[in-house]
Amino acid sequence: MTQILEAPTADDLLEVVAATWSSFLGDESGELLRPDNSVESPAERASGCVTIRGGWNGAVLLELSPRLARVAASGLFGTPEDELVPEEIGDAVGELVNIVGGNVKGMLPGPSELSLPSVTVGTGFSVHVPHATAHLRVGFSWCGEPLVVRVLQS
Amino acid sequence: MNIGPEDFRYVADFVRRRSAIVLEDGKQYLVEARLEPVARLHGFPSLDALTSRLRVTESSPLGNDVVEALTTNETSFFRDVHPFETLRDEVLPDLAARRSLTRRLRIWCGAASTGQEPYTIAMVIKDDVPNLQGWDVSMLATDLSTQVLDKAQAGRYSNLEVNRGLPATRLVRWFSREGSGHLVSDELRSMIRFAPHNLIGPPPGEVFDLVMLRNVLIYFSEEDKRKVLASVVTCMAPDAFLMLGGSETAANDIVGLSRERLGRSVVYRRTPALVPQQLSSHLTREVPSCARS
Amino acid sequence: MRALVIDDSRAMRRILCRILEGLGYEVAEAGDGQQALDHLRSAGAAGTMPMLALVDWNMPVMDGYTFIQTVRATPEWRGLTLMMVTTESEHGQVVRALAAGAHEYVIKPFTPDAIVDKLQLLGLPIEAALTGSPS
Repeated sequence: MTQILEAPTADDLLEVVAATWSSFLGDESGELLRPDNSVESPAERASGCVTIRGGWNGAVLLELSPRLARVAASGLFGTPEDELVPEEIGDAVGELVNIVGGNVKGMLPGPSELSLPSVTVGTGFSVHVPHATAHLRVGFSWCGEPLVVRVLQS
Repeated sequence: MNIGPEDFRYVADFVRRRSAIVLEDGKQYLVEARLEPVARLHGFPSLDALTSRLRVTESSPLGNDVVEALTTNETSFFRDVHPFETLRDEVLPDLAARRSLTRRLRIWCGAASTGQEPYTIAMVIKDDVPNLQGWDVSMLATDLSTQVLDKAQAGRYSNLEVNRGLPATRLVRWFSREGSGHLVSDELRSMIRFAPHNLIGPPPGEVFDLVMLRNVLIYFSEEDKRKVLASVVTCMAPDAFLMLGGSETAANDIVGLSRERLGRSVVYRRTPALVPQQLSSHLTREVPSCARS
Repeated sequence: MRALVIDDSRAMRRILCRILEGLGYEVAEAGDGQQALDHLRSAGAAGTMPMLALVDWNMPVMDGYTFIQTVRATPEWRGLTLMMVTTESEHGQVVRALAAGAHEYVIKPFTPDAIVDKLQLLGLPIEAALTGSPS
């Protein structure tokens, strides 16, 4: 019998993010995404967001430093970092939050729909999802670069 | 964290003494990657510091963690596909015919790692071999590392792990979702007993109809490989099967094993016609005396 | 060797194309189930039918589940192997997809090796090894 939890646990979220990162970016690289809840979202960052609507309502946000976003895009598409264009970085961050969000959705009461991802890149902005409150937050570091994933519930 | 040449040689020697697994020159990157978490866990700032401590306390939790970190092998469900087709089409039906009086089968998976192989065999038995339904089939699954055995016993696998090699039909039949993972059914789990075992030690004190020893002997020296195979032969029933990994061969001079091609796989069969003249001193079982098969 | 990748995410189409091209396939793309059906119709007419389609589930216009049902109900497309590639990981969903006629199912995230494994399970050709992939 499939067990659907009321909400994913922090461990579940950790596993999903780590799996997403390592599957596309290869854990043979030798560098691991290390769980580290002390990391802060960097001031200058790429921020991806998907919303979930239906049996459960909320959002999943994925925030990472510009450097880490380039690493992600390079790994996903096989393009050297210095050849990437901004659109590709946006696509990569969007895909990461899409996959993490899709997995989170699967652990929540359904049926629900996942929005298309939106990605913002810049400095000193914050993303607000109206009527939503923080539910879960996990942090990681990769070679000293931060990655934060948040689940908000409406 | 880097490892210097002296320390690497020492670590490789230590691992070989403990497990027979050979870490060749060139595997420094592997040692570095695998030992860094061990160093962190034990509070060492460098592999240099870890190795210094290891040299004076080999029999210690540190020593165990080092061996475990360097001897765990990758595995996946239905790895290489063909051997399991051979099991389904040739080996298991053959055993089902030969054991039809006792209706009992004993299987040993050595180097079971995180458990995908024994669970795969269990799925093939349950799904694909009608003649074995209702039989007393049990499997011993062993590994040097208690860490991987714990995971195998738990039977919980991630999306990434079930994506590898496992047909979707088998996923839905034999697993249930648990949080972000997939849990093996009790029915499969109840067929398997997981226990730690070192291949260079005495063999398990049981007799098996089928032994799976895939993709582990490739890391052994020729001499150690021969010793292990001689030891394995002593716990095989007179007509039992042995399967090694795809690219592996048992040396031609392993007495008591004959080689056959079944389907797309090579399998070995115990042939008790000859008595090995010399046995390694660590073997504790007597080989049956000369008997024509 | 021809394949069709069906996903509304441009990034995911790119990832899958890259993997399949590395395995020797000529890959076409579609952004939803309807575009994919249109592609199959014109490919059928031109004699360039793919042998494999990788199908996302959640897409606008026509989702992957409906696409699979439609393909399996069309006799001239019965030879097309259908592999679902989706974040939907509840077993109920997998069962639905298989019942609708999907031949295999991959859960996102996946490694390139997972795709290789599935192609081998399905008996589909692989013309080149993936380079730089974990064993």
